[in-house]
Amino acid sequence: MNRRKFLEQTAIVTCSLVCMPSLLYARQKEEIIFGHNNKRYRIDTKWGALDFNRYPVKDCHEMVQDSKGRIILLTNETKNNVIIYDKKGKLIKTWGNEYPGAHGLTLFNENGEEVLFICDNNRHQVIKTSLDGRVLLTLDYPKETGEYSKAEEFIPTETAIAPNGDIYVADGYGKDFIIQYNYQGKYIRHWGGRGSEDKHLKNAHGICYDNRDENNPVLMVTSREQQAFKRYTPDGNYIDTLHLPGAWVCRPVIHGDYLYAAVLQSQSRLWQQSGFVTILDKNNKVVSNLAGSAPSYNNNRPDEMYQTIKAFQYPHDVCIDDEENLYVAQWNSGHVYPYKLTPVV
Amino acid sequence: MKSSILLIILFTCNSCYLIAQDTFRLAPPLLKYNAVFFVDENEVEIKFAESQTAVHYSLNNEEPTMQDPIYTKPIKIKDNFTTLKAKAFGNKFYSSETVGVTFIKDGKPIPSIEQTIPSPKYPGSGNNTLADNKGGIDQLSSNTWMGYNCDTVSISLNFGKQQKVNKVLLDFLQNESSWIFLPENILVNWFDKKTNSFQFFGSEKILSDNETTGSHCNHRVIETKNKIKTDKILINIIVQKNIPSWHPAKGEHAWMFIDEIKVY
Repeated sequence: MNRRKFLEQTAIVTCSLVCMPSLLYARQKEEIIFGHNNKRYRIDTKWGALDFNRYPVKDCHEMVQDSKGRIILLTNETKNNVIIYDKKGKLIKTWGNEYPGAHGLTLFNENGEEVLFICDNNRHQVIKTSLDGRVLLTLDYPKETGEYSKAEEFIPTETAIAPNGDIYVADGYGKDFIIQYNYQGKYIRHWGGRGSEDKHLKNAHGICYDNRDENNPVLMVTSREQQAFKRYTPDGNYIDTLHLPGAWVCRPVIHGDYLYAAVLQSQSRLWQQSGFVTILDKNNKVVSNLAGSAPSYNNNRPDEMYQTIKAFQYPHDVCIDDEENLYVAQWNSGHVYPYKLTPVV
Repeated sequence: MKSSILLIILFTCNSCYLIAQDTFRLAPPLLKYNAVFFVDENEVEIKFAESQTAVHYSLNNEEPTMQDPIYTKPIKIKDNFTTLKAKAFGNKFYSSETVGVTFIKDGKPIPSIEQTIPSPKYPGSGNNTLADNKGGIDQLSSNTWMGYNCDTVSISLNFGKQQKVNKVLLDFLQNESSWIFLPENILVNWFDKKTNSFQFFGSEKILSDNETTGSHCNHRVIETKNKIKTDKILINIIVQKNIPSWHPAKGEHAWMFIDEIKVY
């Protein structure tokens, strides 16, 4: 055997030895696809990872996409409350040091200019800013309602903005009222609050303006401890309840015909990092649970849902981009950066 | 030669791609039952709606393995203190943690129970809460629990007639993140008709040195060596007055939740 032949054969044997365990591994560990029906995804847990020393996060609370395609993350880490990524997870910029209780993030296109609404739990305020962080409007605690005697009682978690600019604030960690303002921040009305009737809320953690039916837009409001969304007319009249047994749903996110929501945890395993993501179709029927139980119904009501795969700890929000990718931000999950899930075609 | 190298590159890339993906652990399956307490027979369902996985279970208190039966239909429980353990397995995943529950059969009839009035927030479901064979649910919102944050809880069991007994079982909730701890001490006395006085039956001191995660039911059995004959048992439960130092609420008064008592 000449030297060349010897080296060739050695290379083949060496490579094979290196590859063999991998091949065995590959055969054992098939690819994991999350979800059901036509909403199935691959996961990339490294998508949003940054240098923690330079760009730390505490709780990654919410995410939105702007018209430039950028993904905007809100965290309660005051070194950089807002972290802006491109869709590949590359850092574009950060801003914000004054939102210690940064929680809710909503984007609204106001006559061609995009603005953000930040709910701050610690400041007991809602702050409207430009996309680069310039403060445009601040809403203090809603004493006009007659329901509040001091700022500390108001702990807003989410906003939704109607097409006419009306601002709906969900006081999800406070008194569970929904407070409606006009675009200038002038109080219009309020409803919800705690109580035993269907129209009442318990942990009104999220809200969105659901205009999937253009002729009948509704407000979809989270009642998280009741494991439900409740629907109201835009002027606050209760319509009905979407029961989602087992699922501590966070805010509803409308994208196309679908409603997406992070589920903080499963009712069956409270405070044990038992979250997943749920997706409802245009008829508000659960069609997919990512890292959760396969959806099934009994008498038109979903069976109890629960986490089946420990892919997430406490998912807190989802964002769906213009290419149907899904991003997941998590609360109290070891300072973890957002994950990206790519649809399986 | 060229084809060998191509093959190697292909294999290497393929396997690297697959290795690059995360491997996840399955969540534990759900055990569904009305109550852990039962009179003649109980039934338990296991739920785990995840494709390409299987739940294996055991009824002998051993850790389930893939050699144990696969769950396919509701399981009947007939024997006292039967422990069901279940675990989910799947090729793509690390297997789940094991979940388990012990089913407890009814004991001597207790027609009358009197107890310290519980907190109005957690009143249970009436006078018979502690002997209604309901409960063993690990959620504090369940109305099967009577909740107390006083120092001592006294419970008097009246059998209505003389019974031969040697065991008293008490079922507690342990959910330390919600300030619900096992009691410091359980003291049981029995009424001796001959001497017209209460005699010592048994006791148990409980230390809460280590934190437990989540919410669990935890039953304790106080036992005498020999059976005694009595128509009345008095139980004093000493609630933890100081939450231990490892807890964020250290020094505060703990809560004690109880849902059932059995006498054998």
